[in-house]
Amino acid sequence: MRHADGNCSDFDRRLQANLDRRIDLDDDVLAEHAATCEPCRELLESYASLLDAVRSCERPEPACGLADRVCVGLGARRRRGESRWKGIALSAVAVAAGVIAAIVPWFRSAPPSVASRADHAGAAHSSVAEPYVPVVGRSRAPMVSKTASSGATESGPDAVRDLFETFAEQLSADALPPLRQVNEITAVGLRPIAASFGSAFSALRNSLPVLRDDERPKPQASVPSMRLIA
Amino acid sequence: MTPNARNELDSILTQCALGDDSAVRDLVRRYEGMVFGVCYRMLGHRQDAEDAAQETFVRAVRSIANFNRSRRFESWLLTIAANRCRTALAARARRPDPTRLCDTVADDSPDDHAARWLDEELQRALGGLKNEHRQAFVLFHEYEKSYGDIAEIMGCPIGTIKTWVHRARRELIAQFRSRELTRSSGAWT
Repeated sequence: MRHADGNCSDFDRRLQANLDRRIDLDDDVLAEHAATCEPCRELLESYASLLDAVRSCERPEPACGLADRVCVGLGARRRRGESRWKGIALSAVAVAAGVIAAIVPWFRSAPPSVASRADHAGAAHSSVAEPYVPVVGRSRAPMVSKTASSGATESGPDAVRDLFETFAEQLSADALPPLRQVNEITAVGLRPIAASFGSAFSALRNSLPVLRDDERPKPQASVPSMRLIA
Repeated sequence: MTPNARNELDSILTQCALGDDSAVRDLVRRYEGMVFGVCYRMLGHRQDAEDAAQETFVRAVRSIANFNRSRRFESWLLTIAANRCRTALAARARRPDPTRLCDTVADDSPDDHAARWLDEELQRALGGLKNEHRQAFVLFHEYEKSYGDIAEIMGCPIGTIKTWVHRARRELIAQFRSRELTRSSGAWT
């Protein structure tokens, strides 16, 4: 809309620019145009009224005690977090107990040859048996003796005892921290629990009797490939 | 913000991250007016706004270790508040409660009546805006944030924020006119 003494679009642009820069709307240029243009004058008054209403309104304030409620809310969240981690730690312990409970009967019911291979407590009766070497680190001790594998059998309970003694030696003292410590260290995540499990399983694996390399069954993978070639 | 104020805020934030309750209280007292005000304007209901403000502070304190200190803390806090308000509005849209339409306070003194009436009229008019327009308008005109800050808070380009504020102003004026709200000789009728 254009009037004799001004341009309404210019007026609107200037008005919006003033509003954006939070400049007072009592602008001479705006007033000059508004004096001769009824719609623009109404628009200017409307904007002025709106700004006045926004400024006149009191800023809403919260009820007293928001800080206290926030602290209570934070405490409740912390407690929920602790109980959640406690649940995870208890679950981890339960799983570990389950794994051990599953392994012990399996080992007891293992074939005599496996048990006898693992048995080094009876090494004294055999002069050619290799001496018992406790497992250290990830290297596996040669727990299979030719004498043992050729028929000298020693019963399972001693082997199991030896096995768990080795396992206990391998398990570092801090591998499974007490539960009360778990709460303090869980801020960095599951790493301590994972480390404990890793350590426990690694020690268990190293403690189990294994076949020597020359007694392992040969891989059969070459047969299909031969067929393919043929 | 002056360097001293910045250092003081940094110290409070560090203490909050360490779980110091008194630092948390300091932090809440500093920003509760602004956070509650924005929540109230967004939600139009005191109790909902208090819940949203409380949740904003709880979340802020819990994730204060992740706060990038190169950012403005106010903007970060208002971003959380805006997210809380959006969540509350979405929940309200799923479960509309007719009692929320009239959130009035009965214990007005006569002197406060006019101010209260104007506040309610403004709140009603704001309630007719889109959420984004309302938030941009309140942050710009009531809390005098810059367009850059609002863009950071709302995660939008500055041009979009300007457009939203302009539209909000026009829609509010249209609502004022439709309800024949006018100011004559300094008094609202």
